[in-house]
Amino acid sequence: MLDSTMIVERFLDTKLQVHPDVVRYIREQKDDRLIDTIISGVPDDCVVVSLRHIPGLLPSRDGVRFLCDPEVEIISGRMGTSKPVGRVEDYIVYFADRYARLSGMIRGRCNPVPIEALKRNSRYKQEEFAVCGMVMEVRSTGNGHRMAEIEDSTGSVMALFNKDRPDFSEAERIVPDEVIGVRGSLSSEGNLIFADQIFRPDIPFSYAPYTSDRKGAAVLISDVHVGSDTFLDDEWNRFADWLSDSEVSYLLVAGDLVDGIGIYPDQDKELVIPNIYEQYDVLGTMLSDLPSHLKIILAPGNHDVVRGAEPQPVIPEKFRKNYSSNCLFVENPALVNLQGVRVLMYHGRSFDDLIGLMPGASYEKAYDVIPEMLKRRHLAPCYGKRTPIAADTVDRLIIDPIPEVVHTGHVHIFGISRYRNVLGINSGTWQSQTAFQKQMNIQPTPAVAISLDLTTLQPRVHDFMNDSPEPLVL
Amino acid sequence: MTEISPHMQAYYDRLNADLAKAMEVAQAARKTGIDPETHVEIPIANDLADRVEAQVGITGVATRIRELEAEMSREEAALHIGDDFAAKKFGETNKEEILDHAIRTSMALLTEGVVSAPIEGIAKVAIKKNDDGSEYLSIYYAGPIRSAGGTAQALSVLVGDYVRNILGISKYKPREEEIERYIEEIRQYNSIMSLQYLPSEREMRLIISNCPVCIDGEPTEKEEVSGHRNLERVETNTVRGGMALVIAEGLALKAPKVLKNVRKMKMDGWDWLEEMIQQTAGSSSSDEKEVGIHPKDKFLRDLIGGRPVFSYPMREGGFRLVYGRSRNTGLAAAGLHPATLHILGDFLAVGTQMKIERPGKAAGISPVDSIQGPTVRLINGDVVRVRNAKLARELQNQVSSIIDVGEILISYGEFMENNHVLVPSAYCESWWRLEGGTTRPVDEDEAIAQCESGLYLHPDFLYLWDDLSSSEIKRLAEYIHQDGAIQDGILSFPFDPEIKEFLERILCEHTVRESVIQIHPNHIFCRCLGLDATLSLSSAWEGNLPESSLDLVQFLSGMKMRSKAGTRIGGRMGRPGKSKPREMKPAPHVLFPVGEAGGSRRSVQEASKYAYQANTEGGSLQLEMGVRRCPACRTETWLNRCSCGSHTEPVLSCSRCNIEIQGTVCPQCGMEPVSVRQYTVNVRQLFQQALGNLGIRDRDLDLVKGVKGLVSRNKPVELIEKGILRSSHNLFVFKDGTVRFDIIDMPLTHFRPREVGVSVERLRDLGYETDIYGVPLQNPDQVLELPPQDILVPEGCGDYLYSCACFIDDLLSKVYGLPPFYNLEKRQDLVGHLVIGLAPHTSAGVLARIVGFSKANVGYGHPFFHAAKRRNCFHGDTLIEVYEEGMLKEIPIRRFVLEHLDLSQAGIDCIGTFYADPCRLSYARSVDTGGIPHLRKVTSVSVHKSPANLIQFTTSRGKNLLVTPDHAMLVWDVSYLRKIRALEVSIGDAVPLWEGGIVISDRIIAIDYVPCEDERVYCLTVDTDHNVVANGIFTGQCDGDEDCVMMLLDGLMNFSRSFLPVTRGGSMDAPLVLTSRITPTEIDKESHNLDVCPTYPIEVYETALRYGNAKDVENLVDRVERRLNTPAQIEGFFFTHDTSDISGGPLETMYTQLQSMLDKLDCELSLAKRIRAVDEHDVAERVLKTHFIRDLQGNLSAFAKQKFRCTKCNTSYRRMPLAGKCRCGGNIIPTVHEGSVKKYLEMSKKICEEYNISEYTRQRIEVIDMNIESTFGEEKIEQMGLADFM
Repeated sequence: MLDSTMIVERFLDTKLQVHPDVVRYIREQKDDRLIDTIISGVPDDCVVVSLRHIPGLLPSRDGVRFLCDPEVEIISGRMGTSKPVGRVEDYIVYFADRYARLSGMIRGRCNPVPIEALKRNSRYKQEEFAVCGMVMEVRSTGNGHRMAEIEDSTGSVMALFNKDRPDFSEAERIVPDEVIGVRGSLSSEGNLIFADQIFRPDIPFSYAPYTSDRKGAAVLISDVHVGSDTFLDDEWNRFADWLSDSEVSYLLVAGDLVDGIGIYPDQDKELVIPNIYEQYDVLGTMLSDLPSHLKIILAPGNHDVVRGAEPQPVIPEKFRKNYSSNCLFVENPALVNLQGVRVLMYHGRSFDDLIGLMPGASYEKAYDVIPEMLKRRHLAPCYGKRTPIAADTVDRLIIDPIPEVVHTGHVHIFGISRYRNVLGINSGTWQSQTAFQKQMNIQPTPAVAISLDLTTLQPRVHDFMNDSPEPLVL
Repeated sequence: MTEISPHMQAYYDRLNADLAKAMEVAQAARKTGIDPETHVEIPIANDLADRVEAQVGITGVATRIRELEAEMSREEAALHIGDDFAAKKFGETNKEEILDHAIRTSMALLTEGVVSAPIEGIAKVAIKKNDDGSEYLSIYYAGPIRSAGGTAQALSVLVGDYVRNILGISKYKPREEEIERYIEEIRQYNSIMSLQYLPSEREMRLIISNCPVCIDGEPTEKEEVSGHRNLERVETNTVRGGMALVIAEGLALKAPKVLKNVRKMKMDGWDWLEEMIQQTAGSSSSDEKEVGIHPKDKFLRDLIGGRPVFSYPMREGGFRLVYGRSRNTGLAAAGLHPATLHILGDFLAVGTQMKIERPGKAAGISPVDSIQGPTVRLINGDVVRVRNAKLARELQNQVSSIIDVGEILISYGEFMENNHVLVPSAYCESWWRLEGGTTRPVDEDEAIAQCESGLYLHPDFLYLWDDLSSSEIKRLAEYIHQDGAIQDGILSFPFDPEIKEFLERILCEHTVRESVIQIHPNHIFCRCLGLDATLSLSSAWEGNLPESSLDLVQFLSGMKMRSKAGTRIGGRMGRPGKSKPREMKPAPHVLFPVGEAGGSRRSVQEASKYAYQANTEGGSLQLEMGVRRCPACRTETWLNRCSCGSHTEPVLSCSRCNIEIQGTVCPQCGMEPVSVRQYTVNVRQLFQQALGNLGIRDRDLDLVKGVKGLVSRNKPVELIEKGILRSSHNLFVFKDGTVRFDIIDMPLTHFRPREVGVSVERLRDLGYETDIYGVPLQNPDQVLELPPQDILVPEGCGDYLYSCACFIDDLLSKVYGLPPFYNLEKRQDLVGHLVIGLAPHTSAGVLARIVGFSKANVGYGHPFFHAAKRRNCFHGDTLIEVYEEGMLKEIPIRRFVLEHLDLSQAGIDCIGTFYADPCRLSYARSVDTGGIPHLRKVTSVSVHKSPANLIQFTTSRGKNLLVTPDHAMLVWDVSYLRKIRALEVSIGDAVPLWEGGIVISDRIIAIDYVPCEDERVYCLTVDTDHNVVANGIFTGQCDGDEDCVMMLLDGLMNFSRSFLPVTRGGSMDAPLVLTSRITPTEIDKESHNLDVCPTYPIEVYETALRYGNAKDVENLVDRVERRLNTPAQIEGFFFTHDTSDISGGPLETMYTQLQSMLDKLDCELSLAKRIRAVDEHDVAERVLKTHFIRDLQGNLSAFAKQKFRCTKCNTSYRRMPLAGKCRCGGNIIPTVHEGSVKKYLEMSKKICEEYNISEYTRQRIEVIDMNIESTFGEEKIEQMGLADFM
């Protein structure tokens, strides 16, 4: 059995440091000869062994992209994709789809056996094996280990993750309803797996992002909250002027376009526009003041007028009367293609759940949660907590295909993260600290826009809080 | 003991004799060994001081408390006891200990020593550092603080501050982030547990930044705060429930009461409370200098669909306040005229809760017909005062508008209890009499004549002039002067809408015939308008007229008048009460497990047919039951009586170590032992055998329902025979083995034989010899005073208890082989029999005697009876049980203490107490507030100087205990144990006993003060629970207004502690002790504010006119508090207002008669339209906002987060399992359905169309409608209304 510590030590013996992803790759391959192969191939000046030193593991792209016309293409999340929940069976189909697609991403790496087979076949008591299942429940044991109940369509089994194992930090981050593979051995009673290794759907080691070969820039914002008494009018105007002067082709808004009505108790006391139609009309006017060549993509969030259950449909027609033709309305989540660069827009309701479940996660660093979504290849892994999920025949919250950028909002604190070449951008807000945030001790970072150069995928932060930044020139 | 009149002595003797008789029968029955125990498991319980001492475990406190209480009020004593602690009189070593002891002791004292709060509610106290380096006190509250109630919670902070001040510890100076943390955390706690009252952010800020003591807490919830985490001085990120309770329900909610005590004690640094009260009271109820009150709409918040509003705050046409107490009001019960009850749509029945604007929050409603009823306008335009219930019923369908809902009778004591300022009363006859009135005038002329002789105008002839402005009065006078005519004594004038409105507003009765308004009689009316007999304007109109309208009419008429409007009080319907048999869900007949085999109905018959495999004989089930062993033949069985006839005893073993254990913990691993095994039981055989024993044929029997599984620790079962008999009498069993009937409490101090359906002869037999005036009882209309432990039960309850009595007789004769006890032929025969009254969430029952039946569906009982059920307790001393060196032994405490006192490190305090940590590890038997025994570590031992006298308690089971008067005693409340001081324990109090390895309860039958011969007394401190078994006695504790009754013998025979669930709160609602005698000094202090005088002094009314404090006239009103410790504390009560029938008015509320929410809402809104004091549009909007939209949004969001469950085995799934099936193979269905999400949608849309609803609310409904459609798709079929789901 290959142990992470052992692998690291093997590299250290040759005075080499090693990237955790390399360790994970070697463990997944279960081939310790690989270590020597890698070491022998490492150039002399190298200190840290990274994925590119692994022979045969070359960055690869996931297919060809057509880069001719439409500059903006909505790959998923077009109007009318989200459907009403029909019947109870939909929930069966929904979770079955989630399991089938996510386990498919793991299957090739760990060769799982059906969970039922553990009970039927005694050979699993002697040898190591792997199962792949959806987490039903996860908890800490009295001794601080983690215990997860995982199920596939044939049955369910408990898996114990020992806190003294090197990979325990991964086990600590197991959340309900994500799909994981577990390699380990069976207890003598046959009802418990002593887990040794966790597999997640994850982004392939070899993933390489696309960049546009034409010049172009997108600006990513979210949480405009028009209608709220804390909406930052002056800052928005500075932003609008800046946009007019900048070489920006796309404006993406990831939800909470308006403050909405009745979202929380006594909201009317904090609204300057207590009329939901008017809120959208005002936003429409604000957007029509922006340059007409700008393609504006608008997704809903939990404050918007649509249903809360995700995937959320697009803003209905009757609220869109005041919008010019360069505004594109999409669902939440939506995957849009900007000159070949795919941006996954998701409002980020599931941050509320994930931040509570991940040790060390916080609202201030919500952007650090985006990699966790990517590892799980799911935008909202936990069902039944704060994120309402509407059952559909396909799980539209699965991250597939892999985007170049994940764009979220919701927490009102901007931040950028990168995980295996996928850029995670959490855009800020256009609303100053609300009474609720004050009470929750959340310090928002309002009036910040993040621009993205589509040729380099380099993000830049522009702060409009106190004055106008330089116009963006490509 | 307080002196007692021979009459009451005879009453108690009789109760005790009857109790003894029942006890004898129960003991004989128990001896047969059929039940889990061979003795009666409800001990009979008695003075508060010792209960307190027992509870806090600080010897000597009781004596001191008694001394203090002799001089001052309990609240003051609770604070002053802190002086003694600060002086280290009880062996305290350091500041923390002083604070700890002082706070716990006073908490125990304040909670009457019955709740667990003092022990479990305060986790610890700590002294921490402010940022400026000074020290501050931090009190860590835990979850059980809830049981203390808001006042005691708040006062505990006060005590902390008091002692802190003495010890020279500085105030707490919170950091800004700590304040924010409090705010976030309290709100979060509210969303988890739902507080009674969530303070506003300003209130919280005010409390935290000013409270001199840091209110901290132990983590109680699973949730963590998400915002202000990892603060340096807040140890946990988890939500602290105890802290939230103390701040929200304690300091914020009970601020007026705290202020009351602060003033009494002249404490500094609490001035901010006043600011708080002003904020809470709405706009600015008082700037102390500003006199008067302002409308409070708090009672209108959270309006629920179907519960109508009767009056907006302080609005014309609302309830007019009259001070007084009828024999069926007082103690959170207010009186309304029966006609009012009918006119208000029958929504208020006797006992229905009404949320009121002031003085308190809610009041139960009683019919009182000696106050004024409503005034209504009929469809034909006539305005009629509805003077009696019969007329009200006749007119009910002709009312077009309820101009005035009539008077409301609230007692002075209520204002006292709530520390509310007195507000002007509507002018009433009692007031008129105080101002010289003698006989009620028969007609107008006599009334005028009385006025001319200098009296005020009699209230019956008063109009509500002050509701009109002076110019309106002038307009009215001029109109009548011009257009009016008097013919045959009838004043008539042409219809004019404006004039008619004026007449309606002053409640002037009139008729409208062919567009002519007629008023008769009209002398006073005309005179008040300054019109003479010929309707000419009198000379008074010339010259300077007074400004205020009331002054104007007095001036014009030359008669003295007072305001008939007085103060209006807002009110709406609260929770509808319910009196019904207590049933668990599903309702079993017997505590016998049938597992899944019994089907969803848990039927024993079905289980006896169940075959788990084809071709096997049915009825063999695998059941989990307790292991018991026969002491005679050593057979192991699950039966309570071995086949050899001996009673069996439970066998405990440790599930981990697999060894048998004597005691409550495994000596090897410390786990609590269990006594459970899977038995294969042939239920069919058992059932047939039981039927044979009883001589009942199967086909004569309905379903006999068992339980799915047993939840108690040792899982004993009941005999199936009991279930068969219960089923045949249509009775259901509660989790503790008893049969109960839930009733709503209403106070009653006097009754008439006619009202209770019992003959005068029978009442004379029961000891009712004379009426309240001392006239011998002969006539069913004479008014009798109700002794504290006599009750009236509703007729339905009487029927149920009658069945229960028959069941007990059957049980005695057919199962126990004893002669029947009750021998009743009809329900009426129940009169004179004893029952146990039990309040919810308590563990002490109170003995009561049925003296009649009430037609209204409420239980009428003496206010003391209701109060006694709320709190009640016990005490301990001498032989203690300790676990040491592997042995459990009983040794005298003296020996234990001397053996364990580590002299090398013993300390001595100023009053001569030696104390030290024990030199050897040992454990003592103690009990938690739930009555579950534990072995707890002994943390210190002490030797004290003895006081001059000790108290000796004797229980009915022959246990004796000698303790210092300050000793804390544990006593049973309904299901908790609470601590009180030994001197507060009284005869009849139930104390927890340790007998035969279980906790049982027993009554104190004697309390003696004995001189102390020894120089020393001894004590030990026990970890966690702070109590110990001494001479076999332990201690215990709770509140509510709905309680239940059970037959005494049922409780004594069938109740067993061993049936109770092991979970926390499992012992709640169980009669762990029975109080046989109520002592007013020991019951909830609320009852001390009951006023018992025949009339109030004039000062009450005069003080009210100036909005003076209720306290200002405290000493002028005869209340129970002033009679305490005299024979008059329990008898010789009077009332100010009589009522002809305590069951007048509607007997059942319309709310429960209407089935669907649609109907209820229709009724509510149509009533709102009719009542002048109610704004129907606002009602509709409030219902939408606080009920329907919340429900729609909540369910819609819940739909997309819903759980699932199996249709077959009811297993709940957090999400749909991948297999799509339950493990048992059953189908899995959602728990939130489309229908339940949509149920209020159509109704909400309709309300939006029909009422003047704000655009914002309209749009919210529109958005919700849209979201529902996008979740469920477009409507395929016709929208189902709510009615389709009811």
